[in-house]
Amino acid sequence: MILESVELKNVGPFRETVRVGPLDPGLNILAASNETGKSTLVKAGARALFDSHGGKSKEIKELRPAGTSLAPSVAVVFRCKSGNYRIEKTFLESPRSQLSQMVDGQWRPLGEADQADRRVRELLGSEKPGAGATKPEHWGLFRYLWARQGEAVAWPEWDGEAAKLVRARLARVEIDPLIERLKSSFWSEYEKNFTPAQGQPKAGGPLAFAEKELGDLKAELKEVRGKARELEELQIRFQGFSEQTTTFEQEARKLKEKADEIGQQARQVELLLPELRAHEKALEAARKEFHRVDGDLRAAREAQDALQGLKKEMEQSEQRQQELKDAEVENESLLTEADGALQEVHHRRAGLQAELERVQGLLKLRRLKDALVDLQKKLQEAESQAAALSRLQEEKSKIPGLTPQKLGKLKGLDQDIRELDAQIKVVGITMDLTPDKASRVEVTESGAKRSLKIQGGVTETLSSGQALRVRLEGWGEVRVRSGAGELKDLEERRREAQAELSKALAELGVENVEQAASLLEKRKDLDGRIREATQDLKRALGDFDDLDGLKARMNQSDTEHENLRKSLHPESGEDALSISGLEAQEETLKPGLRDVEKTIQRDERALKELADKQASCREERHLKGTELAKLSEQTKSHERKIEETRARYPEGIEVMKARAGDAFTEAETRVESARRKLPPDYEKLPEGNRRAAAAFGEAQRDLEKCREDCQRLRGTLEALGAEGLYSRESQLLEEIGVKKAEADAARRRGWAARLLHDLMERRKQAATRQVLTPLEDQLSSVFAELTGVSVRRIFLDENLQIRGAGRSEEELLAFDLLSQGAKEQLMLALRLAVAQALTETEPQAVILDDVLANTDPVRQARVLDVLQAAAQRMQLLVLTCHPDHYRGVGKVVSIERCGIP
Amino acid sequence: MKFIHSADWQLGARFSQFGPKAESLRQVRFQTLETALRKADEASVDFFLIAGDLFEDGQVDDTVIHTTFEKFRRFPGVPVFILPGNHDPNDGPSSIWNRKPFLTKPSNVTVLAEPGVTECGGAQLLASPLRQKKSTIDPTLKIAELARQPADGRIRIGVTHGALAFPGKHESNDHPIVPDAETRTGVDYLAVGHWHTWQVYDHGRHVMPGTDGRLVMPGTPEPDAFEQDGAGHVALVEISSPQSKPVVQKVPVATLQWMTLDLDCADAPAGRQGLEHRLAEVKPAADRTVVRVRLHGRVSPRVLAETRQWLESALQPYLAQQVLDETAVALTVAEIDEIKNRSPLLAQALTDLAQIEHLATNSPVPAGMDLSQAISSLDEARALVSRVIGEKPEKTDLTRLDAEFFKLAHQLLSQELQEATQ
Ligand SMILES: [Mn+2]
Repeated sequence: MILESVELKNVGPFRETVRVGPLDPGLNILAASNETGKSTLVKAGARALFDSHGGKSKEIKELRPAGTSLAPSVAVVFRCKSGNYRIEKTFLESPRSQLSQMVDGQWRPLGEADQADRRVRELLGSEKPGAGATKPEHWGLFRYLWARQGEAVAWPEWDGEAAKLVRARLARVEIDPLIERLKSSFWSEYEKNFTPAQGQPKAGGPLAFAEKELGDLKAELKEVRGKARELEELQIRFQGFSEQTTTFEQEARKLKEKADEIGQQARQVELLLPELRAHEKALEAARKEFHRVDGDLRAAREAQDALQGLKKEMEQSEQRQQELKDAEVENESLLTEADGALQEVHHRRAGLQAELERVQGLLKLRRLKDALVDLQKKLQEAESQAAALSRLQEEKSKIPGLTPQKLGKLKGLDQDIRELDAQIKVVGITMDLTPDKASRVEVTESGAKRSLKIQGGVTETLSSGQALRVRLEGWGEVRVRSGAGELKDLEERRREAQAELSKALAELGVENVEQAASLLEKRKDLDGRIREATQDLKRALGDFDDLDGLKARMNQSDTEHENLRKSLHPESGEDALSISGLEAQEETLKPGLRDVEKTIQRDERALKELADKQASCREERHLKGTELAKLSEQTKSHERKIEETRARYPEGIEVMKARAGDAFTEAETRVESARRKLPPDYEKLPEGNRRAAAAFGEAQRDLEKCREDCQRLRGTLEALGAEGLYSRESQLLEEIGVKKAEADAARRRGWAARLLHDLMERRKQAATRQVLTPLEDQLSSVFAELTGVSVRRIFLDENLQIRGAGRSEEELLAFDLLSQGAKEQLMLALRLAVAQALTETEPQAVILDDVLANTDPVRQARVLDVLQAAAQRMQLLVLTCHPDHYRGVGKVVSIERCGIP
Repeated sequence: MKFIHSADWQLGARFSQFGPKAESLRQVRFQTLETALRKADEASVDFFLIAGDLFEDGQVDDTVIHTTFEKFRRFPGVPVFILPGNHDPNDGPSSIWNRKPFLTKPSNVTVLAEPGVTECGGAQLLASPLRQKKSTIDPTLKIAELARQPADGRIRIGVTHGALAFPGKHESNDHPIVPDAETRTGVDYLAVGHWHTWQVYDHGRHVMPGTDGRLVMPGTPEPDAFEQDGAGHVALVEISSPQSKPVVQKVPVATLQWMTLDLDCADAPAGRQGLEHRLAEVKPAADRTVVRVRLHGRVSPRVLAETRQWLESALQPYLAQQVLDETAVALTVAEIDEIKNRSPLLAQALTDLAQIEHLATNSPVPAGMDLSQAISSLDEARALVSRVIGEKPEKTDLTRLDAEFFKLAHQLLSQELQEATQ
């Protein structure tokens, strides 16, 4: 349907008749400022198209001009596939409805009142509401094509017949009534037992009920089984206790027997023990007496033995004392003897020593004399040698100080002079020959002829003092030159050399070079002789550094000799003795003296030994004296002790000991026989007795306790046994089986229904999904046109609701999160897509009532492009308070006052 | 001398697989006990011997004991000797034999609660009762011990309870008995209980039916399971003198018959007809018959639901019933085609269902079902199932959904489809 015109009277701000239209089948722009009644006009048009003329709802009453009770009247002219129509309705006070159709240029009435209303609904696919005014969901396609001012930016639910139509058109999804029906029956089957959200049994449903009962039964079963288990455990414990009771009984019996036996023994011991104790006491007394007597006897015997020992010792000591006295006397005489002998030997040694000393003095004197003679000889020789040396040195000092270097220089100068002379003699004519090519030249000089071969281009110089004859082979250049300049030069040099030589010779005091050479020779010879003479002098001096040293030594020796001689005063005979004689005498004297020394040493040692011996004898004798006194004291003490003991035993100590021994043996026998009457370990018996009684008591208590436990358990077991647990379990199992089957059946049925439902739903959604893609393509391209962003894609869900926009599903930005502007533009795009899908069978009108409030100017321009393009296929009515936004596009329409209704 | 040797009455047994019908099955065993006692009375036996497991458990309730005693009281001329077995051992103060009702037990009843020798009818009963549920000790050792006392020319009958220790045929703690125990103990007859089917041995060898042996296990007098051949008897034993071979007679006493019937659902009408015929045959004994019907074959959900519904009423007259559903449920090719025509989306959803069923139960894919476009990811299947069963996907195990579940799903679907079509 597209709109041709809308006329109003007594509606909102309009009391007179106003009209909008005729409208263009394309783009219409109704621009007017706010509050001029643009939206009222569209709303009133909708009321005329969709509401019953008899309606008295609040919405209809609101059409009236404020504060009046005028009857609002609306007429809408519209075009459908089936033709052009006009519906005119007056509401409230004088309700009226009339539908006309244009036939051959004339409006022909088609129906009135309810009939008219119904026909319009049929034409527009709208619905009659249950009560009150119509709402957008009753408006058929208009619900989707009319964007109302101020409404939330959201797409309406896709439900109702119109939605089905739109969806079928848009997504080409055929509505399969069979699937829908099956789904709904399965769903309700499922819902009988389950909550759809969680898939859990629904409270109050048969399944939940059965499960509850099942749970109770199972709990009861668990309890019964717990009891059965308890019974089993108790039974095991009971068996354990029974066995233990038997063990305890046996143990107690054994312990009792043992305790009885021990008890009897203990009583017997109690009777016999005092007797034993008395005998033991007697035995102890006898033992003490015997030990006392025995001790005394032993002491007496020991004292006797000691006395005898002491006496023997004293005898020995006295004897020794006598021996020592004798030895002392003998030693005294020996000492005197030895002392005499020693004195004699000392005397002999003094004689020998004096004799030796004289011989040795003489010997020294003689030797000093010999040495003096030698020194005199040596001095004479040294003095002659020294004289020879000074002579040679004298001679040398007379020769000028010539050295080989100086002589060499002289010789050089002499040679130079001779060479210069030779050159001076040669220099006369000089000829330089330079042939063109290799030539032979014959030269005759001072009659001597020689032949020369000269290479081509090489100059050969020929000189001669006097005449030079040259025969040339062929011809060459001959140049003769004078030698005068060179001669002058040479002569000058010779003069200088001669002067230098003469000066050097004069300095040396020599006439010529030859003399200088011979003088140098002579000097060399003198030097050699001086060296030899020096060597000879040194040899003559021997150990002495110089002559003076030698002389000093000689004087010293002389003095020594003189002094020695004075002290010795040798007799004439003695002077006659030779050195060898003296030496022989000395050698004879020395061993004698040595022997005497040895004798002295030996005798002194012997003397000392004797003295020592004598001293030790004296010492020992003194000790023996002391010892004897001590021994005598001891002897007396022992004698006293023996006397005392004897006094105590008047009958004799041996007799007393034998008597005490007998008494002891008797006492021992009595103890033994008393002990034999007692059991072996009678001493431990009382303790053993107590222990056995205690052990038996304990065992008895354990046994009692065990019996009690057993008894108690028996009671419990008997009670439990009588409960018939198995039968109760059987009964519960049967009931559980029945309930479980019931619950299983209900669950299975619910699940089967749900699975069938879900499988169908899944297939349906998959089919829808498959056709969503082309629609998404269309939406995406319109949205891209509107926004200028081409990479974003619009995604729809199975219910054709916009999920959001994004490059891909993964990057999808949900619709709610998009900007307000983007939302508006998306809504517009979807609206246009819906309208376009519908125009294929029926022309469609899209009304946009101030819906792009949040769209910026740049987008606005794109919106115009899109609207213009869409206007080729559908009618567009844009209501706006911004005429400038739409300048230059579409048809500008306005609300016109007609005056006549 | 003559006596009845029975064992393993298991009075008070559960039969929980039969749910509410279990009580009837329990009651029947008392009836059988009465039958056996009557036969004993009629045969003028010297005594009626129960070689263990008279009661299913030491904890059966007093009613079971009272009912049992009531049966014994009816035949005061039949002395009854009861030996505690592994189910009802004499295991202490809580044991059934110490329970109050036994203070007033019938005068003809003797409990062989302790090992020992009991004189009866000129014979000696050498009893080795069990004291616990499990034991690795051969209970006939006790009998051998008792047999050391002089027989004084009397017939000796050993009585005990346990498993014959054939290698591989018993648990080591199940009161093992050497198979030639009667020879080792030197008794004239060894009455044993434990195994539930009739067995006779001699010198450790199994004895063919019709031949006499000296070691007998009569089995349970009332069968307690399907396909339990050889149960339902007591032994009537006659021994003329010591050392003579006993004459053992297998006396049937069972009250119930247990039958298993098959129903091929692939051809439901024919199968049903066959089953009806078989049921009709046993109808006269319906109150003594336990029926089990085994369903198999490939079947559509609707047919299966109908069959089960029919079975419910058809089996109603019988004492207890069991239905074993081994069918493979699937839509027929025609049904699938029809669904495809009516709703391609539904057809796709059905392939998803088949896929999940296949993943969960490893069932074969039905013919005419193309799963190539079905859910392929296990994670997705798990996510779907997790929503259905209300668990976190990572915890969800597809096998939580069993074959029974998918059968129900198919049934629900076919039911709804039918309604939607009408
Ligand atoms: Mn058993």
